Amino acid sequence: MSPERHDLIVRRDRNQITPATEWLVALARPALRPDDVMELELAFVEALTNAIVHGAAEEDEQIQIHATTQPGEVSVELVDCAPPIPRQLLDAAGRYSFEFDENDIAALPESGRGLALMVALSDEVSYRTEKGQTRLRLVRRNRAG
Amino acid sequence: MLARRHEQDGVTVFEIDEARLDAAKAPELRQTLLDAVDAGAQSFVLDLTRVEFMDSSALGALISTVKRLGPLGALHIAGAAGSVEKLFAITRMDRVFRIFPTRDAAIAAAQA
Repeated sequence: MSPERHDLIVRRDRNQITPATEWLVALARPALRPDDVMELELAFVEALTNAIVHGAAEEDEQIQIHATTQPGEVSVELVDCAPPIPRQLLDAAGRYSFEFDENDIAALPESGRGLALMVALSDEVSYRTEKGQTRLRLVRRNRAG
Repeated sequence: MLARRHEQDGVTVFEIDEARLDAAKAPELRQTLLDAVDAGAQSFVLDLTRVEFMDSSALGALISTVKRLGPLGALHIAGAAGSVEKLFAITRMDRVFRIFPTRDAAIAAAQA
């Protein structure tokens, strides 16, 4: 079966997170197992939230979402005109261990887990800027188990 | 309304009435819980039975709450399942919050 491509455009608005996610989950269900859909959903929400919350200053700026599905694999690309995510932030997200000192809850960070979750729950993450646009692409495949 | 607050067996319970807790809802969740702490609540139950999805921004609201509660307070989580339970596990936050399968179990722990 050849890959199927689907496109969606959303406003830069937190209230767009749920409908965009429901759109992606409906596309992913025939391609991935339920546990893999669940983890893709969280990775996607974290990526989209980052684009909306930390993206361009213009609230009317739109975000393009391109999803490609095939049996056992879903890739999703977010395209917008936001300033690039600093390279060191993405690198740090890949190394984030979620470990913390249980005896020092006061020092527990309240934020900063989103990119780490996105990386941990994706099989591939790529990021590039091109002609004033940033392109964040996640790939999720069925995992063993 | 994001959450319904009521008393059950002498324990304050917040029952979340949303299926999805993401960045659109996290600020209200955070404010609701911090208001309760600032009003004097020291130990309460957050019932997530109806919540099907939660992201890191909502998790951040819970972390803000447990930090505001301090070492003498406790936030008991009830009914976390599926994706929500997985979020707690992946982020290791199941070591920060006291998590129970049912509201009754969480209330019993809060009374202890």
